[in-house]
Amino acid sequence: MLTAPKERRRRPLLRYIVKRVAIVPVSLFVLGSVSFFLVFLIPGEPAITILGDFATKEQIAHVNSQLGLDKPLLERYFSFWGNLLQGDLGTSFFTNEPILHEIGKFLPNTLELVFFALLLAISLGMAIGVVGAYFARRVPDRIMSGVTSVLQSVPDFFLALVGIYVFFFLFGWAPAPIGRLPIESGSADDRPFLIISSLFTGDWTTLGEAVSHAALPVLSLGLVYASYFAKTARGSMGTALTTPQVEFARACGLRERTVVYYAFAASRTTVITYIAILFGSLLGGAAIVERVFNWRGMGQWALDGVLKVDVPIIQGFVVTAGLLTLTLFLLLDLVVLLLDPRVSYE
Amino acid sequence: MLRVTGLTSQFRGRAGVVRAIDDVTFEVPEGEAVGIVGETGSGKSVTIRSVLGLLPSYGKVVSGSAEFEGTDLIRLHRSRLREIRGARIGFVAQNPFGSLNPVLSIEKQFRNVMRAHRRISRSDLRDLALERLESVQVRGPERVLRGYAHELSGGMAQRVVIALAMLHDPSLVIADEPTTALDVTVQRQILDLIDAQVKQGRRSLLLVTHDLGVVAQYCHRVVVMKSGKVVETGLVADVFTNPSHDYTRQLLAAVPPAPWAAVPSLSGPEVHR
Repeated sequence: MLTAPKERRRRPLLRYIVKRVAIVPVSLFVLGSVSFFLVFLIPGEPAITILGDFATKEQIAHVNSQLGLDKPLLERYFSFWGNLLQGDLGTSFFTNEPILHEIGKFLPNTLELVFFALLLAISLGMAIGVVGAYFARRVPDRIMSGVTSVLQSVPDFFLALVGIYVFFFLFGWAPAPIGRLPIESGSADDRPFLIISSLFTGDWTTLGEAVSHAALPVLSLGLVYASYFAKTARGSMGTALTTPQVEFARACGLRERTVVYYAFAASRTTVITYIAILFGSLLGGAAIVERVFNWRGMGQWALDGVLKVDVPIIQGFVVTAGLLTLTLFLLLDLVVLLLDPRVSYE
Repeated sequence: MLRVTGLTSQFRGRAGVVRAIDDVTFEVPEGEAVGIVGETGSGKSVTIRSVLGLLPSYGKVVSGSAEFEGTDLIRLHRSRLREIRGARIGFVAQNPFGSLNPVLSIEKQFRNVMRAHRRISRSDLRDLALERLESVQVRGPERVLRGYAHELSGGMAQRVVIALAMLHDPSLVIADEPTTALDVTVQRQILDLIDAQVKQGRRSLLLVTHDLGVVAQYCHRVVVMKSGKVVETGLVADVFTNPSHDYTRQLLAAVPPAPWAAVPSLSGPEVHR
């Protein structure tokens, strides 16, 4: 018997989406407040970092008033929100550049890196995991779980260093780790989304350069993160392949690829959730790898900001990364909603 | 029809190799219904999974044969076995919600099962699916076809499973405890339905159950299993009135006395050949 006719289903769906979107401002408020107060927990004083250890009290007070650090906390909190709502994230203490401008410069680099790294991680990780799950407890499974363990136990920056040593220093196959393009290309390096834009404009020489420069960082991040996908896929596909659902599919004589697709469909929400989580963590988590390759991405930028106690940079990073993660999780929930008819809209 | 001889299957586990069924031999004659009974873990399910090639990847049939219409299913290549499963042998599983795909519409599942064996146009398939759903007494088949498994009641879902299992008119139906997961009120309906479908199509039935009453009412022959071995086999009437093995006697004694127990039909249903 049908309990939920289609006609009655449409509106709850809309209501669910509205509800889900309505959570976003609430999360944003928490996110902004946390990013504001969090920086006061970090030890160190920006004025001293700017002026050096031998600064006089007057100099420090002068810099503090320039930076607005002498005002009461609550007042700074409200002006922080006022500026934030107008899209103003302040200016860096050190470079005096508007934070938004800096983010515009660094974020695309990271997004491109993370995008390709995740693409590699997903395809490789899923392949490893699905093969392991399909041949559960047999030789291929053992090999795949061995590969997974090795990849998981290597830090990404170490893999990056080994990669540079082997492919740049020993074999000379990879370019020097000095950024996204060779030095002589000059200001072209500032273009956002180098690979994708040169692909679409048909700028093949830039594309070639960009891809060869991106190869090692993408590999070192992608290989390490592939292990996470491999583990998730092995687990969820392994479970899915032993369910009565898959057994019934086989008993009905469905072809093996359809059967594997059934199992994949049953476990895809887990994998999709993992994509969102890893994307969020890679936004800042790629910091060291970005630094090793002088990638000039968000992680590297935020790391410098933290080391210099450049408060607006830290806040800007937290807000941007948080905003992106929130958006991604919103998309994730909606995708899961579309993929799984069982999700209740209540 | 189906002749299982000396079937032995093993599982590889952490503790080493476990023999799940050992030298299982029985026969399902054409047009008859055979019940496999035994307690949980006696190897009933492993037996039918060995026959159908549905053991998990760490399980393996080590010896024996399962001859179905003249071909040994055990030695058959995987792709040939797939062609038989679902087309000439229908399978009804224990839990209908477990069996049906939760994220595909019922119509899509009919289409997949159909396409696994035969090419057919979308509209023809729709008509056939509707007809089959009607024949298993699904109410509002159009709506069911559009909908998903979770929108169905247990009884309705199992009817859909039966319709899927019968889609290619199999000559043998294997049912693995088809009513265990259902409400008591619909158990009998489902069993009657399977029985009717089997009789109408002059099919054979291999019914796995732990309910002796069910065997008495619906089966001609019974195979009693314990710890992976067949302890007794024969006509229902003979085995139930004159059990030769202690375990069968214990099983029979364990049936709760109930006024509706199908004692008069101990002789089993009539054979239709």
